[in-house]
Amino acid sequence: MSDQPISRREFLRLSATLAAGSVLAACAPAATPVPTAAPTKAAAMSATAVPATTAAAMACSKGDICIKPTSVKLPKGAVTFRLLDSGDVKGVYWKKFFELYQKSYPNITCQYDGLGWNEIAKIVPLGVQNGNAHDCFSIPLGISPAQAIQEGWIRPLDDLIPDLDKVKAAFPPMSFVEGINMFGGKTYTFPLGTNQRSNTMLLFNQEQMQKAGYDPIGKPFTWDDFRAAAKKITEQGAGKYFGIIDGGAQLPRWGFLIGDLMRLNGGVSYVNATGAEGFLDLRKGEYIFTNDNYIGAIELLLAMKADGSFFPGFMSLNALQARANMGQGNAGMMLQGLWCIDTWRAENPNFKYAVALTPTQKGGGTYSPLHASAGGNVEWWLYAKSKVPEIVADIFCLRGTLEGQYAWNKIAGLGNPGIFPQAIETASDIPSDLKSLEMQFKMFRVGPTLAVRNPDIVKVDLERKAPTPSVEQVIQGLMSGQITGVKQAMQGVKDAYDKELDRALKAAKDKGANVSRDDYVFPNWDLTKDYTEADYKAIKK
Amino acid sequence: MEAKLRIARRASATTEQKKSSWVRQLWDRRWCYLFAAPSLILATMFTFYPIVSSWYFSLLQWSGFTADKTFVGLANYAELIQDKYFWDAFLRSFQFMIVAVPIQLILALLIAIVLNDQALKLSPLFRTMIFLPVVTTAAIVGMLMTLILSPFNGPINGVLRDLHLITQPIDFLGDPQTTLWTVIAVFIWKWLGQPMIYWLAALQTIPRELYEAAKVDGAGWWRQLWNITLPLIVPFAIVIILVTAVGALHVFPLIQTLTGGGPFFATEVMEVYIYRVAFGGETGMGTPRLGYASAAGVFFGVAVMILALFQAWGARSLRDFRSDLQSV
Amino acid sequence: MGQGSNRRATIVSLILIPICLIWIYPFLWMISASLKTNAEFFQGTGLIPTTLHWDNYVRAWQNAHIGDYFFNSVIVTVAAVAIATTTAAMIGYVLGRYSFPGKKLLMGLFVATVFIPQGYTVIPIFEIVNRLGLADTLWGVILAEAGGVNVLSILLFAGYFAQLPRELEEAAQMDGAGFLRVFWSIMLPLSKPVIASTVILRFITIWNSFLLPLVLTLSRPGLRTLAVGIYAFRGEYYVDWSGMAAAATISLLPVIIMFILLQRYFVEGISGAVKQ
Repeated sequence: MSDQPISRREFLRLSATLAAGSVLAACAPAATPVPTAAPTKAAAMSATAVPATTAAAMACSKGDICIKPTSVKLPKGAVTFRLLDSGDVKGVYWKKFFELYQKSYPNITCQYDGLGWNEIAKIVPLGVQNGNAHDCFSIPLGISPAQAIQEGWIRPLDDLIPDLDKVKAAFPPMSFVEGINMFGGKTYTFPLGTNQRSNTMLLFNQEQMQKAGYDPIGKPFTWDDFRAAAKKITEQGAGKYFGIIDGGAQLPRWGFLIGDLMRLNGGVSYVNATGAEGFLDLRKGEYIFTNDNYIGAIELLLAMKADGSFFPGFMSLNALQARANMGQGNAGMMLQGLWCIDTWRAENPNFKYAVALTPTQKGGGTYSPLHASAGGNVEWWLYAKSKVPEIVADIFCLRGTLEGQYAWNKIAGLGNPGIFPQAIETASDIPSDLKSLEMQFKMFRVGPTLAVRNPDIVKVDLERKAPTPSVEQVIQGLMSGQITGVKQAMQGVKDAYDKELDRALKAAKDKGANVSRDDYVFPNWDLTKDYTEADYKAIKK
Repeated sequence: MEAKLRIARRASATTEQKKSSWVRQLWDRRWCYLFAAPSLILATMFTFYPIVSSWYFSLLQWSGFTADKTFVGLANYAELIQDKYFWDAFLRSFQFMIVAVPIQLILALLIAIVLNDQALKLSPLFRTMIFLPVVTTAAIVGMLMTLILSPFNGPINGVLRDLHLITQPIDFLGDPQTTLWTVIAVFIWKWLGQPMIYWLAALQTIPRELYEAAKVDGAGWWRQLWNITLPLIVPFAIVIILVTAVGALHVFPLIQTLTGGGPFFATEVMEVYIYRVAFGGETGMGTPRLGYASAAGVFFGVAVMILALFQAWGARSLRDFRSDLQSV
Repeated sequence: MGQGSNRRATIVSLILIPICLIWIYPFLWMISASLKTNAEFFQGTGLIPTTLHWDNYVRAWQNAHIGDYFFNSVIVTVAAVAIATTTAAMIGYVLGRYSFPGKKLLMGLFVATVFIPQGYTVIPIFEIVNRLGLADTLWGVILAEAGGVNVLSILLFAGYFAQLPRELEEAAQMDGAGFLRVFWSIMLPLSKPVIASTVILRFITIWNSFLLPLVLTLSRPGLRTLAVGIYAFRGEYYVDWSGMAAAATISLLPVIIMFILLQRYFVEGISGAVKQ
């Protein structure tokens, strides 16, 4: 990708050019003639037309789920295939997908389970222990893919997809990386979604915002604007609605809120090895908790709470309940992800929402970009003892094409955009929603990924335990008033996290891992740019 | 239960007189063992074995989910007694019990006394209504109560405001000052039906004639309550207190759905603590540590058992003391 | 009973009716929520929905597969309750009426289980069911559910049997009835109230049990129970509250009916057992 922040249009054009040729070849049976690719949408569309020779020929227009043969050899006998993930809009997609899949392959029975992460945490390990885990599952959140491989939970896809390299070439650059979706040179999963999703877009109630006299889209908020707007909305609501809401009982929310408010200020950024939340400034390898911007973000929310701008009872709400209240018009603003929109459109058709940039200290739409790890969003893994691994491979292949991504985006793209940026247009039929997605894409860069530089870093993650209290818990405690003194509290958090990281490093080293605290330092990282392979090479001694 | 003990004592006296051999004794009692066997086998498989396993787990450093188990001896226990959050949860559990149990018992007794009135034709209906929360799953209760207790449009705050008892709505579940009390109140509401049924059962053992006789003597409602009802149900009280007290320790599902132990540990009682440590708590927060959680479970179980034995011993010596007094 | 007590009963009833209605307000609320839209669900607390949305029940029926799961729940609950009650009656009988070496130890063992914190022993249970080869069968769920010790039931049976007069079995034994006959045709029928209590207590727990049936029917979703099925309404980003309320209402009904039918015996059973 280019060095300069690029506009989405440019980006789409670029990636389409890159992708089109290979996308169409991807996972296609060898016999299928590949039409000459052209970097236009029309060509992409016409190319999706199924050759007459294929069995499951059906008319697929853009955004339809289209089941056609891939290079994967599917089982012939009657088999059952089971897939488990964390549900929600993903479930909507899978149910539809499996219905069609079963129709195309009557010998395959599909079973989908969408469960909460708490259940996944128990079910997957027990299923593996018992030899009957789902054929395709999400790895529980506390467990890293490296750990899952070490435990023999999951297996690679390499021998299942004959033209794997070709398939992978269709993906955007830096999609397949060691330590995220590849381990020991083998490909374990496809990054079918993007991980460049903001958890903290400013979602607001248009009417209430207008009445308060603010326009966060035309004039993006500073922190002060944000606070003042929340206060104003609360005042005009006179008890009927409030300035801001969030799910204060849902601990991870606090990490996202404070982290993003801080990061967008050009403070620092962080991406840890597995792409989960980490809190290290990877330019210096230091924890960010005592950073002025971090403390400032906590103090901002504390001040807004003192103003009385928060929805009463927000401390005992989870994100879902906060979202529902927002849809009811009970609060003017919320910092959450674009996935809320799906719910509102289904449940609150009269609610006029709008999306703006997350407030930043300077405001005016200037911000330091957010960063995601390389390797996209990896959600689905192939169970090591699956009796039908081919089906998992087949599904990955189907979804890893442009038309597969169109179909995914059409159902789930607003909340969980696919990884092909050029397929985003099906995510919504409302121009403003697409604009919001564009804004979100623009906010992100690919950050340095620890495991890409030193794969041994996953061994440190195996040793790491979250300190108690975690940073999220401490922020919650500050917000609820159980802890006072932001600076002191955050110093305590920093000390605890430092201690734990050093302990984990030592433990990993004792077990033979070649790691050090220096692996967490990327001095040549320019926050405004993608961290590319060249950058990794530059810091290699 | 006293009766059972007495029979046991009487029976053992007779067997001793016979002085038959052990084998003979066992053979004589073969039916007893045969009858006890099914329960014992089931319990061994699904209760005792898991408990013994957890003793073993408590000596391991083990996430519970991966193959690498390291035997660490008593290290988990050593860590446990230094864990502030463990002791907080430990004490909170007892705080919960000490507050919830007496209220529950007294309230349930009062209701039971009112409902025990034979003239009250609607008694079964009231009984059912009071009992209704007992049969409802905690998940649903949690969901309902979050909305009902909400400081925004929640009916409870609405009523309090209409009565001019408050000016600002109370954030029952979110304010660390109120949240534990709120959870206790919901717990009492949910489980009140159980001790109520036990008290009703106890009350029904009191012969009606006693009340009739008291009435003839001109004793009023209070005198009857004080002189007949209460003394006669005291023997039941020990069992009912025990069952209710133990119930107050098993509050996991309710707290999990109401507050998840928060805000900032304010409602983290022992079972919530164990669950958080064992399974890593809320999505991705923390590492699952089944070994450590097992140590906490074992420690807490033993502590409660010791307290219960102490209570039973206390109750028994009190009773013996009383009967000594009476016999003098 | 005089006129006075009748008047008092009327007054008491008039006081109790509103109190009880407040007491069960959350349920009325749940039922009303099951007829509202998801949007209305959060709107206010008015009990009367603007329009009745029976489609929530249709959705509950389809999404939660209530039709299928209902029968699984019935099978599991009936079988597990039957096993739990029978075994509790048997051990209660010998504990209550006989003395035998090891009896105190047995009592102690069972009572001790009461003090064990719950919820983290699911892994060994899963292991046992697997070793028995009962993974992914309804039998695995039934046995695991029946196997949770219910000390209270055992104590109730023991207490109840203990207070039955000796003469009962002496007379029967004179007629030549053996141990089994005495238990089966004399003692057990007499313990109906305790049976009812145990059935209710166990029914409530097993019907609502979530984690065990979920884990034990992992790869056979067709065997799931209702309590597990209700979970289908929950997503990470989205919960179908009204559908959930509808499913919850459906799943609550059997328990409530059970209680209404058996409550008279329930009270009698407990009082009979602790009498004396």
